[in-house]
Amino acid sequence: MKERINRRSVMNLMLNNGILMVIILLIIVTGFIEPNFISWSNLVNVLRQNAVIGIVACGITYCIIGGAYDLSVGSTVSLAGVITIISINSGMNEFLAIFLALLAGFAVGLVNGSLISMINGRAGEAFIITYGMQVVVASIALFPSNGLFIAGRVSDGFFKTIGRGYWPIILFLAITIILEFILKDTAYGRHVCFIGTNMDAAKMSGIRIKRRRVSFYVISGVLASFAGILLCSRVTSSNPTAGLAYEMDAIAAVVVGGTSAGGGKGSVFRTFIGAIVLGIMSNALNILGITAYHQQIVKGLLIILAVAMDLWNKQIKERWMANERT
Amino acid sequence: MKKILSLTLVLLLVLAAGAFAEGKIFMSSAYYTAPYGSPLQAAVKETADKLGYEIQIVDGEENADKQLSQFKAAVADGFDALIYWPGDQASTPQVVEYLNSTGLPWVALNTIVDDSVVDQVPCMVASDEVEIGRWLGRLILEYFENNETETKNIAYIEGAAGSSYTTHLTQGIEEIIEGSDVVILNDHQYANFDPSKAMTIMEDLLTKYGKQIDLVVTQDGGMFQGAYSALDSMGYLGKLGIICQGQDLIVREKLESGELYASVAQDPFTEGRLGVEMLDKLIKGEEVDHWVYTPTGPIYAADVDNYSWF
Repeated sequence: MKERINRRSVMNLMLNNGILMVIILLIIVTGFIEPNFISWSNLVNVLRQNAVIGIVACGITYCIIGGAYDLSVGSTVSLAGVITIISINSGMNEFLAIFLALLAGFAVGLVNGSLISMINGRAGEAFIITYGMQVVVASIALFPSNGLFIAGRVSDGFFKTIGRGYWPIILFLAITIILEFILKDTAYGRHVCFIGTNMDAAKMSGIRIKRRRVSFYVISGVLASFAGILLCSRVTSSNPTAGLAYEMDAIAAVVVGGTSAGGGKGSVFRTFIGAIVLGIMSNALNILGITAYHQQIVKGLLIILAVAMDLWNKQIKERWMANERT
Repeated sequence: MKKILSLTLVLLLVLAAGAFAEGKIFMSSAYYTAPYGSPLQAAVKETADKLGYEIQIVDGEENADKQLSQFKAAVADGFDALIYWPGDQASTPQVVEYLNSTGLPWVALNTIVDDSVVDQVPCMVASDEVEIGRWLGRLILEYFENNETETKNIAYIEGAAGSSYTTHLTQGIEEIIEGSDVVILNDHQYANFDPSKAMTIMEDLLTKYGKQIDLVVTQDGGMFQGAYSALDSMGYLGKLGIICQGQDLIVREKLESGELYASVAQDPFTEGRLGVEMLDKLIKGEEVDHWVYTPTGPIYAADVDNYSWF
């Protein structure tokens, strides 16, 4: 009996942290081949590079746990960047420019959430509606920039600072901690999980589903905007297609982290890990000199493995529970 | 009253259709939203207006099937002439064959069509992409002639994997540097013409190679901006050279400040203008060259005023 429990504990640990183990192995192998890889500067480099996608993923985690998707985040990243750079270039106060960009993200989230709540849409409808919004927002981002990449006329100050040094990492960590706290230790967080597990039951238990759903789309939109601002600060320029495919990378970070793609269960901290895992993988492959073609294969396989492990985890635990009952 | 209104409306539509039946040009642009697309399309519009044509430009989204459907719809709508900006060389044969089957005058713009159908194109207005690469190669050799370094190591950031433009530029560079001491340190690294991806790649290359890098080469101005930001944030700015392709404003600024050694010109304004001018000649039944080259060449700080910037 004791032996069986031990075996289960090991298996549990492997299923819950399999991806993490794969990445630790990759770190050891890469560090052995290329010592520069395991250096403080490279660690900071990886964290900074992945802060933008990580922040987008943190926002989207709430949507996925709540049983929905937000595909408009990539376009929101682009739009926020365009608004910030154009506003700053026109001589606007940088805080006002940042506020305007965040407001745009808020508006995108509000429209997404309102539409989905209005039709009482599930994951499928959310997928299509936010995809539609993605197209609309991407087009809006093209208007003010005329489709062009815009170099920023940025002087030293708050905007330039937040994309440099340790700031992107600090902001990424702070957002993770705050969102994880809200998710795990407040009634709001529990409501998000409940909605994702069983929306009808959540509704019957008196949770204001519509408000909650609008709120997590707003969180996703605002964080996508914030990520767009950070991205622009890093490259001191804006590209109206900068956020292209960010939604997929963000969803990948959430799933690789271990949040259930089916909703109801997950953690923002795990999303943080997921974003870093994907970042470390990409950094390691770049440093090892692996071509982009092969990198995409590895990335795709890692995502498939993460989803498969999530499913195996569920199936194995269900089997254990059934065995215990008998 | 309703009848009169309906009749008037129908009459207006017929008149409108008649008024625009001549001189209507349709353009499908595979890179509608790309930085290079905006000034090129603006030049196409401006030249068409000047020559008295009505023009409609649509987004082909780098998708040959979509572009084919767009052309079919345009022909059905009665357009008189067509401009085709292909997404990628390999995807062009089916579109070229269809365009020839319509009997309408048309030109291919910017992207060179596939070798199998190149002879079937009435007129192609494009840079020789391999030649742009050769110019980058010549600038690399020139940089090392003018700047003494112990090694001749390059960090090279490319555009999009599988794009003919990207592979042609690389082919041109390799042709020129072959047999020299110049070494491209990294294997293919694609930033998809995105500054932030270029920044990430540059940071990783600096982590791996650091001071071993003598020169950074990028395939466009946006990726140059990304690489520049990485060099800046990691303290390498001014310690190594940079060369890129492009006529973006940021390129002009950094050429003038001396931080960018040189750039290779690919002028979207000239290309767009030439495209419509050649089409105009075809519409009028005049002879045109099969391949009208968009001029390319190096741009240095001293001659930035000779070029249009976007």
